[in-house]
Amino acid sequence: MKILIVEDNKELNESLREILKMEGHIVDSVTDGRDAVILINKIQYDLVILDIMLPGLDGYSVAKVMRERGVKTPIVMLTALGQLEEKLRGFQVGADDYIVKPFEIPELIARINAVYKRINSIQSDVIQLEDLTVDLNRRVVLKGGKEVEITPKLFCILEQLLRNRGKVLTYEIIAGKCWEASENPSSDTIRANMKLLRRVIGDKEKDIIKTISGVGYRIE
Amino acid sequence: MSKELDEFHSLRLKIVLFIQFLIFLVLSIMSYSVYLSYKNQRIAEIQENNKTIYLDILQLIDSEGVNLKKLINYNLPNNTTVCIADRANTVCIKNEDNFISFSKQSTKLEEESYIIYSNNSRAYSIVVATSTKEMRKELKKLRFSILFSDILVLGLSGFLAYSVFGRLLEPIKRSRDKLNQILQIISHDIRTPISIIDTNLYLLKVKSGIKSKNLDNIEKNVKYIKALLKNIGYLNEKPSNKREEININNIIKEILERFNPLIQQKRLTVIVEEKDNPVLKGDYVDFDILFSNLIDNAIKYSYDGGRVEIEIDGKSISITNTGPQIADKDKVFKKYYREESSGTIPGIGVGLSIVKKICNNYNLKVDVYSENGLNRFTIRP
Repeated sequence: MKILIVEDNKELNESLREILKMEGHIVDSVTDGRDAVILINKIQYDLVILDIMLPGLDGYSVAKVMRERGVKTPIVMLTALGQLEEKLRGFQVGADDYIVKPFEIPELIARINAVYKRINSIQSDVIQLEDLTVDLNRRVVLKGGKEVEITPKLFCILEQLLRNRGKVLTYEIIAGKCWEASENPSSDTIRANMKLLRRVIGDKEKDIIKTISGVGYRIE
Repeated sequence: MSKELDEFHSLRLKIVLFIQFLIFLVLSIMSYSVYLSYKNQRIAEIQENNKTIYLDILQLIDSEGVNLKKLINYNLPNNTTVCIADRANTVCIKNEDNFISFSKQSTKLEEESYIIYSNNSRAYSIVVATSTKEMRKELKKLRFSILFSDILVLGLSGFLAYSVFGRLLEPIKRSRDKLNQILQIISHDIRTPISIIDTNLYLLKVKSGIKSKNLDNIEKNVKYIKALLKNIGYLNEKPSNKREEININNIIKEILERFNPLIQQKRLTVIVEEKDNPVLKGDYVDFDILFSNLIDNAIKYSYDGGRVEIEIDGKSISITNTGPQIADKDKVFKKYYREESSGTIPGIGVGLSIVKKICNNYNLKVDVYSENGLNRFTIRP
């Protein structure tokens, strides 16, 4: 999924970003509350990890602004403030989960997945398409029962297509979901990645992923 | 913070109550003696008056008998009855609203309500009796005023003691609050750095795949600091209202799994006796912290190669370890208290105070037993 980390401590921000990237997520990160709001307005994230004490605009305000503007992206607050009032306030302004520092890394990862699943009410994480099996939770792709090696970016594109089956995903949506905010890929780059993805999942005849020329891609 | 306030409030109240009790005692003794001496003085006064009247009446009796004329004119005080009797007759006089009434029969006097002076030594026997009605009224007034002033004094001294001890205890309370505050600030400020160490350690281990004793040591100590921070954070936490069903056996199993590295390091034998499968209602986090603290203590204060026994039955959960005796079984639950024998064992003395706090919140009883090289903490619903 595409995650935004809002944490003012640069070192924690970087290490969190690295851990989440290792988990196969596409991660943007900012250290300022105002920058977070700007990014959230521009890009549709799947989840936001939000610190409370931030320069510019604090985490409560960021969450409030998001909810006021109708952004439903799940928010996981990650903060050193652990008192009950602070937690309650976090939930009041629209947080979906609240994790107090220092946290357990496996717990953080599990909670991120759980919140994402709960908010998007995803029932099944395993999707079967012809001889292709995709486990969205474990991030594993099986082709004819054999595991296929896939980069996080390609998996992200596949995941977006699967989660939005029947809908056309435009170049912009794909770029927004699977590239970091600083990257800004051209449609050629996306086309090249799609070619790679088709090769990885063995879809040379374009049976699984349909090209809607000039618009984007779709999985039926 | 509220717990802290309560502690001081109760200490203040205890001191004030004790002082009030002392003042009450002194006041009671003083009031009673004042009352008694006044009463005795009044009785003596009346008796003296009676004697004077007796002597006056005696003057009215001459060789021919009682001089009735003089007797009627005699200025007898109110409430006083005089009876004169010879062998055959009795005459009584009484001043009722400045009118002397006569009666030939002897007036029946109830002894309790009269103070009587009599003398039978002559041919006539003369009895002077003064009713104590007036005196009793006075004494009643006196009792009321003594009681009223006692209550006033008690109230005033209570108020004074309460405010004085509030002031006297203020610096102690302030320094405790300050200590608490500093602890919270420090713990808050190291939360992010510890998270950074923790996440980077995780990355280092995953990325490099190095299995090294040094990394394990760092990890172990980061875990310890994290547990400590959890406890410090919990000190100021308000009691939870969450009531979910919690299986004690499962929670203890989970905790023991977490402590497994420490258990192995100290070569401890851990025995869990599950005689029952009790379910308690509460917040999972609270019970996790409660039993984690007890098990952590049992491990920390156990001798190397010692034994930790956990017994779960329907009525109680007890955690026993082999270790040095606990010197003060009441104080171990006090915040920041550490036994001298704790020595270099890490800790800041908050674990058991948190245990007590959680137990209080759930109306659980916690007992300590420490004898014959065994320390046992028992939790009873």
